[in-house]
Amino acid sequence: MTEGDGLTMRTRKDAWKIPATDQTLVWYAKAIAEMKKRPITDPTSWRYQAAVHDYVSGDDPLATHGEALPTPSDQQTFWARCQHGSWFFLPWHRAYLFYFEHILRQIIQKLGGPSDWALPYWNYSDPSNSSARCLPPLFWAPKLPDGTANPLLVSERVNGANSGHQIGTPADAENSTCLGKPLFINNSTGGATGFGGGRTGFSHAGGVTGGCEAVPHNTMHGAVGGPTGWMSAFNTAPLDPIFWLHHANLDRLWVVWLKGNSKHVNPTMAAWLTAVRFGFHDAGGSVVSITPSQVLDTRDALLDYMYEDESDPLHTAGPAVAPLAARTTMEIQRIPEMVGATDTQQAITLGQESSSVQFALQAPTGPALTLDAADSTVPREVHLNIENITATGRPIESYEVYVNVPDGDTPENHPELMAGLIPRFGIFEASRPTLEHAGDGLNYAFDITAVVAGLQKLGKWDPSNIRITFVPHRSEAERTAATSTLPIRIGRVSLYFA
Amino acid sequence: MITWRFPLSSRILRPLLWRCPEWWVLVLSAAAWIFFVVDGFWYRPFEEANSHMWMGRMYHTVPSPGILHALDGAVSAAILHWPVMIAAMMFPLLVGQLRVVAARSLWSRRNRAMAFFLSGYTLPWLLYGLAVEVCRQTTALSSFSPLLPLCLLSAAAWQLSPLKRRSLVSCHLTMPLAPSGWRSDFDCCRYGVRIAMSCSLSCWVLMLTCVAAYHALWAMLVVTAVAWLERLLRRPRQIWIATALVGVALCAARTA
Repeated sequence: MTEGDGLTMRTRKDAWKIPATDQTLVWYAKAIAEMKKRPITDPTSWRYQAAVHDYVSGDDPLATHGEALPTPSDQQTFWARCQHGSWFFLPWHRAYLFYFEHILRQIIQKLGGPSDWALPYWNYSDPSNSSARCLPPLFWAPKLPDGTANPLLVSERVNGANSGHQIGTPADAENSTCLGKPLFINNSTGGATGFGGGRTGFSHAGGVTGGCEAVPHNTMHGAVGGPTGWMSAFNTAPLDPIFWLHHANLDRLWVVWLKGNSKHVNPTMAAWLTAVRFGFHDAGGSVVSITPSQVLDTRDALLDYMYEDESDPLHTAGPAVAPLAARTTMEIQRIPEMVGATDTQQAITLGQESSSVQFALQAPTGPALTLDAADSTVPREVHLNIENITATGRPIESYEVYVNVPDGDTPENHPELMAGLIPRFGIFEASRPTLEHAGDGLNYAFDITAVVAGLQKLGKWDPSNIRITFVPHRSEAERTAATSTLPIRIGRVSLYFA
Repeated sequence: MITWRFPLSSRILRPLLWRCPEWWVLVLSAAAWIFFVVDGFWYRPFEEANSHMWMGRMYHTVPSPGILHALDGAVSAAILHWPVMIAAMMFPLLVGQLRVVAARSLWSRRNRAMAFFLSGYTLPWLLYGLAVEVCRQTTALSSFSPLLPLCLLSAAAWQLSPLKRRSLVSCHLTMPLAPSGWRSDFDCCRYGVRIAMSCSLSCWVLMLTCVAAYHALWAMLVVTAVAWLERLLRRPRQIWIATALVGVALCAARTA
């Protein structure tokens, strides 16, 4: 397909900064209303597009008795294709949004709207906007300006989201950690995190979650959806119109990450660029396919869009184009070496209260040791792995993870010891053995190099022992509402030097 | 003083081996393939003496002096032939799991952990092989070749079943592994068994096809190609694979 005339590049606008006279969000609402009128068998319908992300038969909140579904072959080819815990997370979702936006734009044009309409984004991390973590007002307004029902309003959201309250916590919306990741690829087996995710095949389930996917992607999904809302599950998330603005923001972060530092580069391997083709439908309902290599630059002739704000909040901009040598070097990761882990007999179940695990560490004997001996100028990286996180239902809580909190002290008093967040998003889906998931749960890796360096500086780092503390992570609204919890089970916690 | 240096310096070779801890498993697999190729050519005269033997060997039913042929009976076949077949065909498919096992183990235990994983992995396959060989012996079938097209058609049908898809997905699961002690060995072994259960459920008909074809090289290559393809693609268009298998079944039926 050919998109964009190359003359007027479309701009994806910040939903919070759209002027009152600008109808971008109103057109978005009207187009969704049109999509919702179409049957699920129509690839350009609202529910079909949501099912492209994921579909669980028997867990479709909009299903009606006896309705016709697409053929099994069609479902197998185009549904439940979202890429998570994978280096395809970013390119797949960029392509997904692109074709979704294409469908919307054609509808908007038919309704008499602008031909250059583009999907806006929700920048919940904007430090200049004190309401950044609130949903833009039109997403919780009962009616559209013309008095018709508002399809952007979804009741299945966390308490307070539809009354203009802040959603989640600043830690959920934080983007500086992922934007500071030097590499795109993380180690698929754990031990090191990159911005974009671990090397996998085309994978609905994936391996270790990448930096931007963990925070703010997973955290904001869980924050908006709450314990039971649509945004908290793979299969229902795209049914909430804010999903698409959330992902537009993540797509923007990819642009920001690349522009922010000359050493930030995409993978150059064919396995990522061209080996896998993503299948979608365009606005006419025709089957189209696209590779990651075709979605690398949003400003090229095919994609033809830019973001209103592509500036780097970390202000680490370097030369626009990295030298080839630097690009190659950036794809080479250090080899992580496991130096300790919890025993598998040691049950780690996280509930409503804080809990801790402790395990022994060994001195490195492999590459981490070599690094110390041969090149002491290279700082050692320390990564904490949380492996095989499962739940038997949708977890109520997300968790904060702390390292070596002093005895009797409150973890929340030690933000400098915080390793990261375990968001609730996707845990249940990844725990159920299905046609798409093995059911072995999610995996997170946290770079705790700075935490350990801080402890070393204070003389509080014990090289033979480490204690990890898990604390329920709640927003203000959730602190008052949480009365019960569905526990999360962690298979193992391990520590890596690299 | 003259010091001899290995052409590939340790600065290059060592990180390479570190990044590919499964290298020795692949060497084992390659050796198994070489064994099958050499064995297949060596016994060609015996095969050609039999009308069914255009596509492979018929050991156990004709006397022959070969390594495997010297031992008859189901147990010997299961114990001697199946491990080599599993090493050749299945071990290369385990690269991902082997890297997980290595990465999730203490550095000094990486090779040991992989060895325990492979031991666990081979065990269910051996039991499956034993069952197949016992069945073959007790039914006194002198030839499996009439069953070959049937096996291929069954494999094609199996490719399209939801259970096949589910078991294929399960082939990629990971499990927590204890870091040290006997518990670590046990966990690695258990992980191997778990993966083998999924893999054998996913590929049991395909492997039966190999037996029906007398472990002929062409059959092993076809089955290996299918197994590779579906794991590589993670979510392959099974209809294409099934169609290809039907095509092979038709060819086998015509030439049988």
